[in-house]
This record gives sequence, structure tokens and C-alpha cells, in this order.
Amino acid sequence: MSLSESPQVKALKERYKASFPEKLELLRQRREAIADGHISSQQRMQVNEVLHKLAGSSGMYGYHEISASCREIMAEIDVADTSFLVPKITELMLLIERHS
Amino acid sequence: MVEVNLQQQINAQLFDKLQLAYICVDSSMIVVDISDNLSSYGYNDISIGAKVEDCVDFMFGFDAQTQLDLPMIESPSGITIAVSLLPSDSSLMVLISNASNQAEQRQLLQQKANENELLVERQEKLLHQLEQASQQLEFKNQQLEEASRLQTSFLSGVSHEFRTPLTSIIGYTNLVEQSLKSSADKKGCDPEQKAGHLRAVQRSSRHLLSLVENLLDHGKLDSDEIVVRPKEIDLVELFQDVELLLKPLSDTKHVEFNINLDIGDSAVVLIDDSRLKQCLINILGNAVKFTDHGSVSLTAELLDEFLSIRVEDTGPGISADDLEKIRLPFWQAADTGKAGTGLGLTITERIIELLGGKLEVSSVLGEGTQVSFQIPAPMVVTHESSKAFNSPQPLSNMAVLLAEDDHDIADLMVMMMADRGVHLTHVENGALALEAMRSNTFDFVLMDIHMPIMTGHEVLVALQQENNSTPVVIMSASTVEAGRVKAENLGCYDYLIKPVDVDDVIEIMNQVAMNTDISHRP
Repeated sequence: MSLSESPQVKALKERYKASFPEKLELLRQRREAIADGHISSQQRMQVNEVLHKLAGSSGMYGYHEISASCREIMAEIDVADTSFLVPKITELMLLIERHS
Repeated sequence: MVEVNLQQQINAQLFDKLQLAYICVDSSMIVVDISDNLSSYGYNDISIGAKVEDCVDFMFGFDAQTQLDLPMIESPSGITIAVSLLPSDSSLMVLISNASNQAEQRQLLQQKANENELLVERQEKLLHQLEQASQQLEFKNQQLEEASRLQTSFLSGVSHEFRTPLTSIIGYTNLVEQSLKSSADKKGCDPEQKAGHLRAVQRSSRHLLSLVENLLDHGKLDSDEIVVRPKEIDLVELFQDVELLLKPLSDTKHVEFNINLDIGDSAVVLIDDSRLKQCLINILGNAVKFTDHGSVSLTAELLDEFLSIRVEDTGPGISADDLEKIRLPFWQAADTGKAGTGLGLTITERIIELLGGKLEVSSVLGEGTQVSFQIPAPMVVTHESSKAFNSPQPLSNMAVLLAEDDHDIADLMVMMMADRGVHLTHVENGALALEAMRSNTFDFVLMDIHMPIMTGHEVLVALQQENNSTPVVIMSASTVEAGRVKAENLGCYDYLIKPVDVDDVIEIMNQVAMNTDISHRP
């Protein structure tokens, strides 16, 4: 039995995959909040918070593409405007959707 | 003469206004006349006396008798034109007019037709979605009705479940109270009898406690709050505890109760004992409750780091129809006359899944029921076997703290480290981590930076101020270099970027273990 793939770990991975709709909904809410073209510093922080969590956890569960996509957006988060963020978040959502 | 001129002027104006151009050819298809504006359509090389099909593409193959309308063709200059061939006795008139407007209108019409088609498609899709939503609503409605029925049955069952032990507690405490009063008159019951009454109170209280635990766990089922925390346990002790809890119940019913263990010489494994015990009590409790004659037996086998459990009873059995429903929350067989919450099996099944197994139930009506499952039970890493991980010290002896607010990451870390024989104590924020480090000695700390209440950086500052030199390894999803530099300046032992490889953590722990005396740990 592989150490990293014990049944408990497999069960956790299943649980994580099952949480994708919840994570998608959170991203959708964050995207909707900035869809009118304006982003406040608080909203920027909220988007970053969601991406930060997702970047860490998705990578830990083996979804490296999702993790990398989060990091790509995070790298620009301090300066990016909504014309960058909205489509990038949409791309990320589609990526998660594909893995759901 | 004046009349002819006037007619020519009118014709010229009309031709001009309608942007009409013409080519007149004789019966041999030789050009005999052309209008001046032909060049505006890109026909520049037409000359009198030339053969018309040599100068005009669309005239190829026609004779002077052809009467034809070509509504939409493209002229050499790219303009959409309409062409009419009008034959007379001795000649053929080729009329060319600008058809751009008609082409545009036709395109618009086509566009509208496409849009209409799209609208119809969308409408059909919406109708389909509406139909699906309606079906889902109907299904949900049925589920709600069933849930409502089950809740009602649950309330009546749970009231009975609570009333029975409570009545017993009140009854026995009354007896003890009376005997205490009587002992003042030197007529009380003997101490053995009093102890028996108190044991009955304890049994009922434990039963109540397990009921409450099941109820609380049910609330956590949907929110995934039930967490498995493996630790080193002796299986023999665990089964002794289970026997002590269940035997009195089977004795009162005169039902034989056996526990058969085939777990080898060493039975110390890494498992969440409280969760396993909860499952065994639920399964055995059910078996004893529904068995009025015969026996209830539990067989446990430990093979290849897997623990197999089988519980068999000689109770009334479960029908095939009911077997499909027993895992539903609140469900209880209607005609057994045995009250309950209907939650035990639902919770047990979920916990067994979290422990890495699958609950199997088989039954023959009138003969009895068999419940079984198999879960991983890794043997505890001893000093010798820990060498397999190239560990200079048994890492399982290390006291390790994990500070991580993300439950997905924390649960995975706990589980993966447990697979490597390392038990983590998990806290959810920096403040709790600091509190834990103040009240306990940890050999090693794994800590996130981005946490509520107190960040990882703030914890490092506090540890520096308190001269606490516990090795802290930071795990962060942020690749911002400033975060790493700040943590290193604050004295972190190492800085790992998420996703963290647990083997990297083990390697760092080995480094720490080489420099720390942890052999004294239990």
C-alpha cells in the first residue's frame, strides 16, 4: 500500500473534490462583486484570500493546474484591474469545473 | 427632334439615378453599344466590335435569344449587381444595375432569420430547463415529505430512547437515596446492592451519553465536521472497553455475548480509537437490542495492517426491502417495537468511510444479521521500523504541532503524516498555536502564515520575545519573497511553499530529531 495513497487519504481527496462546487460559488461571488469594472481594496483583498487558500489546498490535493492558475492571478493581484481579473477568474472557474 | 432629345435626356437621368449600365450586342454577340458608366462596375475593357463573352465573364455561353435575370453576382469592382438579358429581333440588351441594397437587405433578413432560430433554440432550451427544474422540485418535495415523516418518527423514537435510561436513573438513585436514609436507621440495603444500583445508573448514563454523541455527530455529518484523529492504541484494551460496556446489556437480556480476537502478538496500531469504539458500540448496541434469544458475537482480525470486524447476531433479521433503507438517517423498522434514534447506522457508516473502510450489512429474515467492515490499521512505527524512513530518531515520538486554518490542508497533513507514523496536534490559528506552545512542549511546529486572529509572522515575533526556540517550519501558498525573508529574519527553521511534500517535512523533522533528544518521550 502506498503511503501517500492510504484509504483515508483517498477519502480526503474525494471530500476535497466534492467541495469544488462550493469553491466555484465563492469565486463566482467574488467575480460578480467586481464585474461592474470597479474594485475596492477590500474586494481585492477578498479575491486574494480566496485564491491564496485555493492555491495552497488544490496543490496539496494534486490539482497543480488550478494551483498554478491561482498563483498567476495572485502575482498580479495588487495592480490588476477588473478587465484582467474577471476573465482570469472565469478561466480559473472553467478549470475547476473541468476537474469537478 | 425635340421630343427625341427629351426622351434621351429622361433615359439618361433614369440610367444615372438607377445606376443602370448596359451593353448592347448584335445577333452574333458582338458588342455594338455600351453605356459610359460601365467602368463604375469595373468593366473597363469592353470595346465596340469585341465579342461580349471575351470581355464579360457572366456572358459566357449565352446567345442573343437568351432572356434571363441574374439577381446577385459580383462585378469586377466588388459591387453586387443584378443583370437582365433582354433579347429583341436583332440584338440583345444586357442591363446591369447596382444590387448592393438588395444584398444588404437579404443579409439582414438572413441575420434576422438566424436570430429567430437562435431565439427558438433558446426558448426550447429554457423550456427543457424549466421541465427539469420542475421535476427536481417534485423530487425534492417528495424527499422533504419523506424527511418530515422520518423526523416525526425520530422525535417519537428519541423521546422513548431518552425516557428509558432517565427512568432507570431516577429509579435507582431513589433506591440509593432511600437506602442512605434507611442506613441511618440501620435498616439499609447492603453495600453490594448499593453498588449494583449505582452501576445501573452508570450504564444508563453511558447509554444516554452515546445517544447524545450520535445526535451531535449527526449535526456534523452534512458539514463534514467529523474528523478522524488516529493515535497509537492497543486493540486488546479497546475491545475490553467495548465488552465492559455491552456485556451488562446482553446479560440483562440473557443473550450470549462473545468477542473473538485474532490480532496477533502485537496489537498496537495507529487508529482513531474513540471513533472506532463509537462504531462498535453502535453496531453491537443494535445487535443486542434486536436480539432477544441466542447470541451476539464480534470477531476481529488484524492482517496486513488491516483490521477486519464482523458482528453477527441471531436476531430477527432484516427484510431485503428494509436492508436498502437502514442507512437512511432517522429510518427505523416499523414493526419491531424497539425504539431508537435511527441515526446509529448512518453515523457509523460515515465514520467507517472516514476511517478508510466500507460498511457491509447482510441479513436473512428470521435467522440474523451480519455487519462487517475492514479499515486500515497501520502497525505503530517502532524504533526499528522507523529506520525504514531513514530516521535517526523515531519520529512517532516527536510532539508536533500543526497550525493551519484551512481544514482541507490540515486534514490531509494529519492523515499523510499519520501514514508515516507521525501524530500531529492541530490548531486553527496563530493565537491557539501560541497558547499550545506556551502550555506544552513541542519538538517541531508546522505553521501557515495566512491565518485568522494571529498570523504566522506574529507568532514568530511572540516566540522571539519569549525566547522560545522550538523549530518552526513555515508553510505558505504565497511566493512573495518578502514573506519568506520576513519569516527567516524572525527565526523560522525552514520555509516551504504549498503544495508541501510531506516527505520534505519528514526530512526536515529528521534533521531536527538529529539535534534534539526526543528519546525520553512516551
